Amino acid sequence: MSQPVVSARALSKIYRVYARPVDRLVEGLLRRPRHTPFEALRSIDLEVPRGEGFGIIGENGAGKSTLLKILAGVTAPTSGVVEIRGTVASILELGSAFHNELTGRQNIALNAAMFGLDRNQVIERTPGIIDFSELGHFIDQPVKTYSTGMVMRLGFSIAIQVAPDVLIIDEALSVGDGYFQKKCMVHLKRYVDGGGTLLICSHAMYYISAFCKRALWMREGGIESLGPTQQVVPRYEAYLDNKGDRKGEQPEIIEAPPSSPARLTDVHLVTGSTYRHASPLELEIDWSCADPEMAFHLAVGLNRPDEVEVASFLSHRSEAGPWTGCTRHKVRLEIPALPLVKKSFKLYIFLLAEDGLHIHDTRILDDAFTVEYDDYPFGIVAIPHRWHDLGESS
Amino acid sequence: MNHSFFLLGEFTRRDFKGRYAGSVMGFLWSFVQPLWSLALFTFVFSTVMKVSPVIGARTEHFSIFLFCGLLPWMAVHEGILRATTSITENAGLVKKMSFPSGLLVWAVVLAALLHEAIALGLFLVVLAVMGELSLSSLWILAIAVPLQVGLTAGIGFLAAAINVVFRDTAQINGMLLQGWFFLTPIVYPLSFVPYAIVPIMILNPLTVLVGLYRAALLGGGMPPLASLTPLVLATALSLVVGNAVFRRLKPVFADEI
Repeated sequence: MSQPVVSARALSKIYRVYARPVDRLVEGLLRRPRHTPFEALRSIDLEVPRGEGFGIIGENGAGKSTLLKILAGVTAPTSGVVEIRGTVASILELGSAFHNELTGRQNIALNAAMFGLDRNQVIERTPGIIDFSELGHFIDQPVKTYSTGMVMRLGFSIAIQVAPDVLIIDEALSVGDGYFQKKCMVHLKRYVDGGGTLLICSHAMYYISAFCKRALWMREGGIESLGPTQQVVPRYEAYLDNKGDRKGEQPEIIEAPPSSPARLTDVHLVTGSTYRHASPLELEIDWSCADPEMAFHLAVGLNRPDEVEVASFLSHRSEAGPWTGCTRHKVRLEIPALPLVKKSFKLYIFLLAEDGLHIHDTRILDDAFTVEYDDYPFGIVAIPHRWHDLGESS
Repeated sequence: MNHSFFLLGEFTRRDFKGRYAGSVMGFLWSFVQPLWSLALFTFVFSTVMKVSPVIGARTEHFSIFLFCGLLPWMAVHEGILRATTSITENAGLVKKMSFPSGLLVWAVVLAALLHEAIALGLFLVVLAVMGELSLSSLWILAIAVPLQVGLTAGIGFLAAAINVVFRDTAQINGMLLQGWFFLTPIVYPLSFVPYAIVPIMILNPLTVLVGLYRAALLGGGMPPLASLTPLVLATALSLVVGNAVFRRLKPVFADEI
């Protein structure tokens, strides 16, 4: 086996928590402790070989970010040793490491230099970074004019184009539109497949499962479980389910700004807000767009009020669409029968670009419809079935 | 090492550009600000209070005499004051990126020096126009400037590190610097100082520095080497202490800001 790119032995981090600022001063002068120690990391051992995606999961406050900060070299461990063979780039926490008054382009130079690039490399990679970020003419505007999503796009573009030996990402993927996230995922996948080492911390198990061969579940600063992702993630999810505070992952909502070239203008259930079990359900969706040449797909999600996803209807997966040719368009979704037997449901309607990835606009119908069913039902769906009498058993 | 220099250049550039980015006059402020202080001080001390350079000061114009002292003072003052908050103000960088954070201190010290260079260029033009320019002693700046930069950086490192764990430093520093300004013969000549206090005044490293600038710009001779002792010692001491304290506190920067 090759030498690990990242290795950590007996990493511990103890933060000193002071009740008042003056306590720190008194402690410094009198050399008498006046702080409460907080153990953020307890003796973490870790090895990640080259070319591996490594996921870190756990609840808030479990020490994930502290661990990544130490591995990224931003803060020092209280005890223990970190060894990283190669260059490191990191995206830690949300928010930026940019100078707000300077333009995106000027910030690229500084940021890339901080990740270890020399002058020639900076000049050489800048076009690629700008290209990847898709900021267009905004690249020469001050960063203070950027939206959160744009800042994140720039930060991510730099980190990924610097092409470090080790890339550390802390939860940064969760902002930005669906289209850019998708693009980043494709790139990260390629980065790992090409021999890059990725350390990623996320609450979205989807990302962890997509990129990581192994995962580390942290709890209260220690290692709860470390092993293949397909073993660790289900254990963690089961733990969350057990605790009862697992929130269904909220679907990402992108509402079109008024300036958007394409937006949903109306969505309504033709069949009304009361649904008779096993009857047809019809949903009509209207949208408008500036350019009749634009083509669209639609996606509809059916969720329980607690965000458990029940079903999805995707035009690009059902050989319908893409729809084009008008500036105002109407499409009807027909569902011959739903097996639902009780309670109310929620609908998510997404107006998608031709590629089926980029989201132009989203509408949510809370309490879209309530199901009527004659029998008193157990469960939420009626599944066709048959009983057979097989006589006396032998 | 090479990379650190490249990074330092980028930081200094960022600081220099970032300062005036978005303002209408931009870079012109580097000229306007020193001229404004010069005009104010000249009004108060020369027009109202009738301070005048004494014989041996090599100029009859108070404003020229004053500017020789203001030049190094503005760079030292700006450098120390901005260095003090250089780590805390860049929390975003220090908490997210791994890099030698001492470069942030060096960057503001160098940016202050750059501002001084601009003002100096302007001053030399004014001197030439007034016919008081003498190039024969300018070489003295080659001794004065490195000492000045060392002193500023040393104190800057100390203040920057302490300010991370003790935020009151920035406030205290502002007051101390104000005191230092008036205890240095910048707006008045040393010869105005009561005789009994002069031996104490010449122990002030800035008194020595201002003296060097006056000698360099007004065509005086190089002061005796022994008289440089307070400046050389203060520079060396501040660099050693500043560096030691900065190094010691550096590991906790990211946790404390």
